[in-house]
Amino acid sequence: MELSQLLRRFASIEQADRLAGMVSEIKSWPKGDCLVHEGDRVPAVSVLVDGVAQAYRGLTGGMQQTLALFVPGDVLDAKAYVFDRSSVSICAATSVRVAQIARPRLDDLMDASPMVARWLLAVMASDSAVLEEWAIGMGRRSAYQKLAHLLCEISARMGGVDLANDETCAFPLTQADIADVLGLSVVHINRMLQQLRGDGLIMLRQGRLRILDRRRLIAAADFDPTYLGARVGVGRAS
Amino acid sequence: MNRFFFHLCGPAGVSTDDEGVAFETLEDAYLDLWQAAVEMSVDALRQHRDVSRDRFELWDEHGRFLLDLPFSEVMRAGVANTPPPMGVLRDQLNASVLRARALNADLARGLETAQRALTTARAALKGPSS
Repeated sequence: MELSQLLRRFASIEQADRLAGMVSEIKSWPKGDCLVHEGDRVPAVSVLVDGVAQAYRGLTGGMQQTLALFVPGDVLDAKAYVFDRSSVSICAATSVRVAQIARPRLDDLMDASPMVARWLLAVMASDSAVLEEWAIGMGRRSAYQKLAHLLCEISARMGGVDLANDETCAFPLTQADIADVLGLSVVHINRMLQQLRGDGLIMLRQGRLRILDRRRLIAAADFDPTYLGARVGVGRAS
Repeated sequence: MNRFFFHLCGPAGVSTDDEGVAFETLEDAYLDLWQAAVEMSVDALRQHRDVSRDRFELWDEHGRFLLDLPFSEVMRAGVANTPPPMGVLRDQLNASVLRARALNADLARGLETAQRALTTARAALKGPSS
């Protein structure tokens, strides 16, 4: 998918084209590289064009907590535009390509068009909605439900940018990555994946997720995609 | 990285782990396993399931049994909720090695006895030398 097409999830065609025209450069990083370190100054707003990235915070004792996953079209840590410095590290879960709009350019664009400010507001609101859903999961769902919910969310988000078909999508996260997202041990994730497989709900092999019984997976996860809004084509901003 | 396999054993049977998980060291695998048993015990309590007779078996990628971790051991750790130090793990591993050596010695003794019996039988079959 082209950048302006990806941006249309949160913007009108005209705004998306205008934003795409403001891109100062497109950078690439290989899998595993860190794009941004916690505390870095963020001189540009970055939009993921290809690949999957994750934002995390390092904790004492060598642990880390993943706080966001990004698929193509997502803005990497949009709130950094407001705070100036990044509160998270962002690393590439796969090789990634990122379009960057330099902060002064975006400032000018915002001054000229309140619609652009609305775009960034919609992005931040959507990020907040996802984080809210994750917080509910952390606090109230069992490990089995948490994992089922994450699989539903990733499948829906990949589908939202045409990266899923026939119940199959790319799933580049390792068991350790999933553990960092859900705040669980790796062995526990390994167990829950086997349980989901054993229940005939999913197959996860060689970086591909296949949903075998979507209706039962959604029921197990208590998944309602409304919170994903424009990311999956619901309530598209105009 | 080394691959470890975590089979879950309970009164209903064994749920084998065919995929395994990669860890740098046995200690990393053991600490994560302990954490998993804590989390799974809490989940089970919330769902009113009894896992007190469940246990994990940890195997290496060469099919060697390394140690087991009963959930009851994790629950007994109670408030402190910390895994026993690696010394305990080493003791378990040493015990496994000693058991394996004893079995090996038994086997060697059995073989020796069988060979002696075979030699005697062969000699008897040949009859008295003339």
